[in-house]
Amino acid sequence: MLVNLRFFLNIFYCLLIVIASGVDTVAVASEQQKQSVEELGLEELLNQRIELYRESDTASGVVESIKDAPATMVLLTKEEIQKRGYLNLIDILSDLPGFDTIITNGSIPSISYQRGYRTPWTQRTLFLINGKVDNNLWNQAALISKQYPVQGIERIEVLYGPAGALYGPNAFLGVINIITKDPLSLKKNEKYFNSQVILGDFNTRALDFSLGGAFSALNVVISGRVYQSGEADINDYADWGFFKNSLLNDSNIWGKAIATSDFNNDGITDKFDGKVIGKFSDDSDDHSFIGEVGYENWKLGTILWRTKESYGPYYALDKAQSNTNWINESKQYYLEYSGELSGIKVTNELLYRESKVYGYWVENFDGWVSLSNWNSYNNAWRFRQQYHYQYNEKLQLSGGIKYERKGLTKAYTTCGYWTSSLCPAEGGMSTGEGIRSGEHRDTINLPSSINRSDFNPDSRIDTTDKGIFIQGIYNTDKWRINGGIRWDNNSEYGSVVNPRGAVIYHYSPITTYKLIYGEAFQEPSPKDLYGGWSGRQANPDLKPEKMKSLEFVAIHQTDNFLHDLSLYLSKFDDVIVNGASGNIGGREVFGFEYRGKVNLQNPFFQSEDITAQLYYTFSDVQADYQFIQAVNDDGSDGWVKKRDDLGDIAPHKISTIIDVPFSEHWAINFQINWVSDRQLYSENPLRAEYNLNRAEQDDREAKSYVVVDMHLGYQSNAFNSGVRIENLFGKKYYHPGAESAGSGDDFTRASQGFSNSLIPQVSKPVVMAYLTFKF
Amino acid sequence: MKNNVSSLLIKFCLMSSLITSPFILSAEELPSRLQVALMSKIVAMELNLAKKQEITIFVLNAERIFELLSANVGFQIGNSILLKVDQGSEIPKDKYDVIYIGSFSQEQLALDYSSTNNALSLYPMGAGLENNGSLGLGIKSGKPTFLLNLNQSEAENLHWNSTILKVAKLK
Repeated sequence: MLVNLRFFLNIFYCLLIVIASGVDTVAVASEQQKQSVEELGLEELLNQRIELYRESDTASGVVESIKDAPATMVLLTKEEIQKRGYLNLIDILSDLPGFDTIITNGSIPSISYQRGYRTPWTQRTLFLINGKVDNNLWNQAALISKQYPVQGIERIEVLYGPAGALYGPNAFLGVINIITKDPLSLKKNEKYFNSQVILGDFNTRALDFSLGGAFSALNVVISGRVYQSGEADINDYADWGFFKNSLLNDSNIWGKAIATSDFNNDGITDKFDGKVIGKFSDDSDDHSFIGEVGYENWKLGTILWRTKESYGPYYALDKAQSNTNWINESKQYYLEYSGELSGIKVTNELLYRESKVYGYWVENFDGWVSLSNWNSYNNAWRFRQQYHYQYNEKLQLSGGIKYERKGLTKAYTTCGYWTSSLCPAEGGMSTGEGIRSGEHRDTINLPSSINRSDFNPDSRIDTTDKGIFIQGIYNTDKWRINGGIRWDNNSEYGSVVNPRGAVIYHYSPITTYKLIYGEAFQEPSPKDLYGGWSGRQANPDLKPEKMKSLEFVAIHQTDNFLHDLSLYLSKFDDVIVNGASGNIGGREVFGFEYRGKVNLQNPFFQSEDITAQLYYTFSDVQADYQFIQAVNDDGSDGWVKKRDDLGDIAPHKISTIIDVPFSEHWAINFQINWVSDRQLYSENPLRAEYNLNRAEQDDREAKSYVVVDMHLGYQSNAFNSGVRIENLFGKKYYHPGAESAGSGDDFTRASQGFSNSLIPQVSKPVVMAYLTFKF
Repeated sequence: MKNNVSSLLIKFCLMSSLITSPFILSAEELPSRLQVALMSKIVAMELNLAKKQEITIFVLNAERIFELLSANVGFQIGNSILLKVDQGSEIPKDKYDVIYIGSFSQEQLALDYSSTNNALSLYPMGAGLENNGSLGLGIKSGKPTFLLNLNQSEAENLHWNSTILKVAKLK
């Protein structure tokens, strides 16, 4: 810890020197005299970086420039997405500062840990589409695959740090807000249509579109995507002993029925959920539709998406067959009305949503195999009202109320699985007849997707959430003070109060400092509270996780440089890693992020600069408890109080994005990501320190790597086209495993757990080409 | 694999080179606060406006620009005082010194208006306009930039200070 602290302080001092060196003495003198951007001269104005003046309402619910926001923010525009050739949200997340993104290419294709907080999936970042929460209602995961339509995205706003005082539950580590064009912003007679076709390796095909139009008083904005891919084959990945074709068709593991996909021994191949098993396949079939209709002050909208994924390298292939489907579905419908009453702007929102998780699973557990079907179905109604009042030119007040009623699944409805699994088709509770030794060939009929009405009433729970918040923003010439507090109440776990305060000092039009204190809480998810099954325990006594964070932000720009750095300390209490473990102690994250941008003279094409972005992230993450394997006298595992590195979070990450326009139409863009060595999570058996069955010298880390992605793009008024190559140099590398990452790496015997301890990554260049038409 | 990539790249280059059309520096509009700050400087660089004690502005289809400009009514803009800011979705009947054209739907009518009334026509680049107004406000390499249309300026009887001619991109 002390070593890290010294290291961190050195970095901080170095950066202060870098920033200071960017300010010449004349500039300092003149800087102090000018109080606002309006007082700058023409040439100084033309040197302002537009990034700082982009407007957002994600941080405080009112429109403000990024430099006025009470948080660290990164804002990515439609144009930047095009320049970098990003074709899906996973591409984008992989380059963001402050995120450790794990690519699983499995049923949950990506997992992002924001600001050093490791969780089973992406469950502590509030993921919004047009301000509507899109995290799953049951397991709280943001399911980020290839489903979202990139053509429809106007901008992506990423907020770092707690925002519980504005959003209430689960705005824990930060917020990602995907924003599409607002139909009420369309100008008279405006109409547009963009459509993008993507073709690439692994038989990948996608159609992505957005269209909009103002028709008299009715404005319409629609975007959508259909994405299909065979995804990479096993041979395209880095080697991993539990990710081999030979494991899938091994009769000694699976029995002949599954290994040969011949369930009744008639010599004819049978299919399970339409798929031949006993061989590798990793198909994806994702789609989405986002639409909004605006009429005067009314807005009617919908957000629909579905992902159908196979399991890829997520699980050890001697434990789970890869070639079956796991499906996530989300539906949201909403109506909004904005009006003004006695100078108070009021926004009303009524929203209905459904979150569904279901799919098929072929498992081997110590020689007992099963073909099962899983279902979770959840819905919610929400009413929200927000107010904004400009009291005078210095003071603005805002606030809001929320009422939400949720109908939640307690535990998965699981058919064809172990005794005591809930399954209406098996008389309410499974008898375990679906479990058999490998050679046993009788199969039971499985239902497909189950509706909520089919669920056992004992497996459902209805909850109510209420929330209220107030916020004040006070501006003087150089200071901006933002304070807010929010009360939330849940019918199960009670009340929580979260404050936030920020003092923002605009030292000059080119230098801004922010000091921010915030708190937030994370609800215990219904999955962890009630979602027990034979392989996982629930815990209805879980309390919400809580966090508080103190952050300092400094922003400074010179003619060619933009420096933006954050230094923060976050403390977490009542940490939830899963239901069974209960609330286990605290964590502490000490972090530093640098977001720099530089413009360089372009030797190829004088009219446009070369630009480079440099993101550096330092994280020191300490956890109070470690999971120690074989710690108990009976050889069982358990959580033990011991403060140490949490694991799975890289202490150092550098992301560099270089854009080189070399003609009026052509540009080449490189995204270079370096991730340092990282210790593994304590549940991972490869971390020898916490696995008493593993020799110290066999300790294994997730090794450092550099991956380069490239985009060559052509841009004109009529169309854009380009080629994106991921992992340009075919780097062989691994990410830390997901969830308990328990497979181990002794490939001479059966895997120790389901999730792979290291997840191999595609180790060859992956080429995608696209063509976008604009009308 | 290498053959596939080469083939894709060749097809892509050939296809792209067949079509040429005007290039937009940035499709993103300049942030509103910077537009308003720039407007304040620009009106001081047009010789007719620089002499006026009071200036009036009409904002066509741009709510946020109107909000920000309205906060400056009664204060100095360039060498003058901002007397009045109005907004609407139709071409105004009254005479204004500056018209801000926020959308393309009535661009030509707005330009006719500005020529008839000797009003400075300003517009945001990247908003889908034909960029035919006197002065476009846009983004180049992450910083603000101008696009100055000398023909339209002549039609509006504008006389620019040489400073702006040095920094603006001319059309």
